[in-house]
Amino acid sequence: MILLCGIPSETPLRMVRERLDDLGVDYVLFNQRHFADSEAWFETANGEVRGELRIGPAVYALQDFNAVYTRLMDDRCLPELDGEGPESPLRRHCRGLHETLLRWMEIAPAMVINRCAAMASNSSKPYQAQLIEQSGLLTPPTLITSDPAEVRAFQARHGRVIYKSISAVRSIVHTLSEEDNDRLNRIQWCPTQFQGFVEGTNVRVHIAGNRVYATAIETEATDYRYAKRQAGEPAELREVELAEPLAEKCIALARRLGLVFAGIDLKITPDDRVYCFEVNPCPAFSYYEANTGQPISEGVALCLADADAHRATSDAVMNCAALA
Amino acid sequence: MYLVLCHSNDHAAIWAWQALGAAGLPRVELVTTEGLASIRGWKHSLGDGGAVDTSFRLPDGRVATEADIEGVLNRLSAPPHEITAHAAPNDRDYAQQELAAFYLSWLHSLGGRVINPPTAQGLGGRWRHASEWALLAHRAGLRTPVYRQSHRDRDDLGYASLAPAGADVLRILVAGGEAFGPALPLAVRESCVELGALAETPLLGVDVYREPAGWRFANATPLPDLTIGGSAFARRLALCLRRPETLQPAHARKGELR
Repeated sequence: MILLCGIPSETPLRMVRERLDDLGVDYVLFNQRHFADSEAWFETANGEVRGELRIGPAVYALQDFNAVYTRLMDDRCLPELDGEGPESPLRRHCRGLHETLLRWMEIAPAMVINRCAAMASNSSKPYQAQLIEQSGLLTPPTLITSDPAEVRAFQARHGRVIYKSISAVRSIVHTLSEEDNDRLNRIQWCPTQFQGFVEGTNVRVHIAGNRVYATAIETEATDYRYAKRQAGEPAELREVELAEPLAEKCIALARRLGLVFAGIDLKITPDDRVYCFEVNPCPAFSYYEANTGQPISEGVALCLADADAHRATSDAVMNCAALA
Repeated sequence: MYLVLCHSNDHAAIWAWQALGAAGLPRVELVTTEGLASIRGWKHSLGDGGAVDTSFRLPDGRVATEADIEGVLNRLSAPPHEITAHAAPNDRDYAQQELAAFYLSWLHSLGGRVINPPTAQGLGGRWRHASEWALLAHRAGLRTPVYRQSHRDRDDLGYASLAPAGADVLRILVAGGEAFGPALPLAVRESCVELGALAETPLLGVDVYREPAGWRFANATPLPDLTIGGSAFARRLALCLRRPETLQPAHARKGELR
């Protein structure tokens, strides 16, 4: 069985669900906004994980789920909790239910897109950059410093320099400008990340299992996600094909990070050097699919279906072997 | 130099700082979070296919480079609040996350010189939920109680001990593939060492409790009380900091399978 978790109208979840419908694959949907009529428990005993999820009148054994796609939103912000006090029974039920499901997903012997532990490398960009370089991809020249003089020397060496957050919070990329020089002294209290600007074409690579979907993004903006705000024009997206060695490196990188589904941000320079900026462990791929028609949601759906079929087959073989 | 990175109220780390010196480890510096907050001139360079290079200026004016740091006893659980306390209220959480992300990158770049290695799930070693510890402990060969969680439970349930109230709990300290602390059956001690290896946490505290049928796993932490290991532990830790290859259990070093 396949379990989908989240809010059904949220675009990526809706698209994956529609592709599963197209493929004729069964799934169970946990709509987190219906938390009040849902319950869950799990236990670990003798190395096994088992439990139950009740959604309305239907009860499912957690160990029957072979694949999970989770797009759970912050349960504390669900509209059904508006006006509820911090310790209200409804809020506690909601938190307890989500915590139970999230914890089960971390240890479930199922394919999960994606587990929290695997997603954590994105919480520190330079840490993730070290893992990326170990996978054979270049990362941009980066300086994290609390010394304004070092920033000026870095800028003199690299020309155009950008700055962005070190963590995953407030992650908008800006070009270091003359006006920024006036406030550069502030960094002495908190090391700040600067990168040499890499000229070239942005390419977002979505990896879904072994499937690769590459999208080139043309824009004058420093951060293409905010192209309209930064450059006055939305970015233009088009499907591209990666050379096989590069595609294999991207698959290997996602695998190394423990991600079944990932969005890898590359920049390919005019002299064909490939830089990797970061790996997004929870990509909202719908923007790319809507602009190019690339079947990314189908890739995710096929991953889920493959994992479900494979686990069911493995179990059937094991059961036959045990009976023999 | 060797660094002991810890919070200023981490008495176990301060004890280890003194014990490492007594065990003959030279140039051991205590860097509390207050000290870390007062470090200036951070320069952490990476990317473009090159090696990571870091330098910083200690409060006494000395500059420490990548090559100067021979080893780190890493007991950081969070970045220094001394820095972020001065930030605007709306920026405090952000600044805290930025610092955590920075220290993670710096400590990770030091590789095997850092005990415990930092992780994205904990600067001083990975924090795990009780359900994860229970599964790992079972794999390590420890008898493990059933862990059960439901929507009715509070979300902090998974960070509590699995020992029943009033149980006779003992703590083992695992370091560098050896177990220190109270005398327990050899099989239990070996399983605790195995748990440290499976959890990729070379310095691990493992709690077990007594039942009529034997000892059961109760809890584990990457930030254990180091004092229970005494001088034998300090000597082992000093060796691990001098020679990081000795961190693994003996059977793993020999390439044996268990």
